[in-house]
Amino acid sequence: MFKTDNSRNREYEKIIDVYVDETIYHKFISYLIKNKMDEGDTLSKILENGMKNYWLIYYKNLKSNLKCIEPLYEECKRDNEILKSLERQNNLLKEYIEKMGVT
Amino acid sequence: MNIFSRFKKKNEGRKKDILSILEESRRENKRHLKIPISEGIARELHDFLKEKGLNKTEGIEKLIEYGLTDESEEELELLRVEKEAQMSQLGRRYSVMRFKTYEYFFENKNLSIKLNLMLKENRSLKTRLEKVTDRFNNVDEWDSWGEDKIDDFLKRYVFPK
Repeated sequence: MFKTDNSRNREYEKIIDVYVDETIYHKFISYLIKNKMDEGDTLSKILENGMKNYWLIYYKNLKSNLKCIEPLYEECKRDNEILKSLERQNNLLKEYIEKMGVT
Repeated sequence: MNIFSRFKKKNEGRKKDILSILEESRRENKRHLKIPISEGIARELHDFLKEKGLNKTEGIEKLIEYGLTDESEEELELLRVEKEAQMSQLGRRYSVMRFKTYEYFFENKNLSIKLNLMLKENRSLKTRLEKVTDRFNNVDEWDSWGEDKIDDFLKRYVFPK
């Protein structure tokens, strides 16, 4: 499967056995076809790229995660403030009623 | 076999079952890659995962994803410059925001569960006080909240999709 004429016929010694998302799998297949290398060489190149660019892609993902979490944070914060205000007001009113002896 | 070793063996089996169920669910909707690579890359990969404290399975999946990135060399260079200037600040901001969101979410969950009771109590307390003072006559945002608003809070914090 996916062996090409460019296969270097090298001596493989370790097996990478992983499950990847569908989208990553399809990207891998496209990369394989585009670069006309065998599976082992292709995966080695991809892993090398991954290690080389690890912090850059990590940073890029961090930026997009931050964009996603910001509105959620604002919404939770706003709700928290109002729910706590209601709870605080109830306590204040109870204290006042007790102090004033209102029936 | 005594009762203790039987119990231990039974629980080991149970633990294995739970782990295999978790592993199976993790593999759902995923594609299998089983490919040989050279010893040199394997060693480099092993050291890299160890150094970054990454789990082998998830780490390799992540590296494949990162290695297949669509960014051009120019885009990567721009990212490199930006990362040098902002990485630590952004990282701190993200960690704090994530922690606070998590904290707010669970507080909101507890408050949403008792929201119906809190509203009833608030209206009853205000009615009682109206008879003796006009000190608490201010209109609050929650005065107009009805069933819809309570359902909205419950959907978002107690039964989120």
